[in-house]
Amino acid sequence: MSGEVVSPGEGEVFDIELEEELLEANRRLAEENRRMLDDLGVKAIDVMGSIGSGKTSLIERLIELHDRRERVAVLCGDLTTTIDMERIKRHGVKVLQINTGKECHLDANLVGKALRRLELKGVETLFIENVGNLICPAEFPLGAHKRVVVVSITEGEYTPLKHPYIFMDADIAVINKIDLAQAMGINPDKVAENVRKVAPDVDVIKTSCKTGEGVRDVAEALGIR
Amino acid sequence: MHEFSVASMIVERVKGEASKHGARKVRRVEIKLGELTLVNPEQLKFNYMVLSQDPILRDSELIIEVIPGEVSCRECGFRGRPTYRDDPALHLAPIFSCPVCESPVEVIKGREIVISRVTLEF
Ligand SMILES: Nc1nc2c(ncn2[C@@H]2O[C@H](COP(=O)(O)OP(=O)(O)O)[C@@H](O)[C@H]2O)c(=O)[nH]1
Ligand SMILES: [Mg+2]
Ligand SMILES: [Zn+2]
Repeated sequence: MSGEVVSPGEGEVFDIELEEELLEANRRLAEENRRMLDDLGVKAIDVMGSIGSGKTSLIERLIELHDRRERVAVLCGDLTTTIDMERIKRHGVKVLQINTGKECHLDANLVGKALRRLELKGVETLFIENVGNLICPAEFPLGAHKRVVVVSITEGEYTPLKHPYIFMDADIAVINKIDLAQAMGINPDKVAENVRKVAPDVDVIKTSCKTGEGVRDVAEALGIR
Repeated sequence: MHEFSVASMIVERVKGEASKHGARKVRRVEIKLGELTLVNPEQLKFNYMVLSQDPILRDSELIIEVIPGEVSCRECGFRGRPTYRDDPALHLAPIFSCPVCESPVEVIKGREIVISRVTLEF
């Protein structure tokens, strides 16, 4: 940041050199969020993916597996609706909605504000459902400990190749709706292969939030229970 | 995709800089945009125009220098520009496999969005 203040006369023109990374502010806030979460002993999980891929369903399934629901909280990011929040509420966990309005992703600032509003004492696991979007959340880390991207069989085989960043930046890729694989004529292994092409270090787990298959593996990979 | 939020971040940052120095107008804003960011320069310019209607920013020009991407291969050590998929539906869709050996690559450069300079009029 340029520290000194110039004092020019009327009509003069000056160049101010900034050389400032725009996304840096978000990164700093994300680090702040992380510190706050660590101090409270909360493990935060950012759940990303397209609209309809099964983010809310996966969170619901993971809550069902959790043996102490009073220690779970959820932040739901959405442009304008509270539908997901109502769904989560039924599971008897703490939940707060973040409406992003015009923004296509959650950012560390919005999440930081929500963290301060949510009563996090005693909470062990915090799920953050990101806005349904495969593009923007990749560039805006929130400070979560783990990033999960949910991709569903119904999206076809090529999502990971079309949207590599979100996979490169994730810890776990969940291939959901495998119960529909046969009907869709799509091989989940092909999707997994495409994930590994762009993100070889990502953990790939196949699930069905309908039958519950694979959800336990996700919980294990996340280190939550 | 998030050209709108990036444009509003630029507008906010530049307004702040102008008022800090007591400038009357912002003439020019120069940014460096990595070509591997998820921001389309044309859409960014459009959003900037829409958002810069404030008297202090009106008529200011947003100049975008695109910074080429650079990747490195984990297997064979290749370092250079990624290859791009020929798909008009995806603006600049880089292929994240090595152009030499097809192994996965890491991004070294091209994901930055830097406000490099603002020109202020007093
Ligand atoms: N058949 C099937 N449907 C699923 C599965 N997971 C989610 N769904 C359905 O897909 C739709 C979208 O799921 P939702 O969790 O709301 O997706 P979100 O927009 O990513 O939060 C809902 O109707 C879910 O019931 C699955 O594994 N199999
Ligand atoms: Mg949802
Ligand atoms: Zn190589």
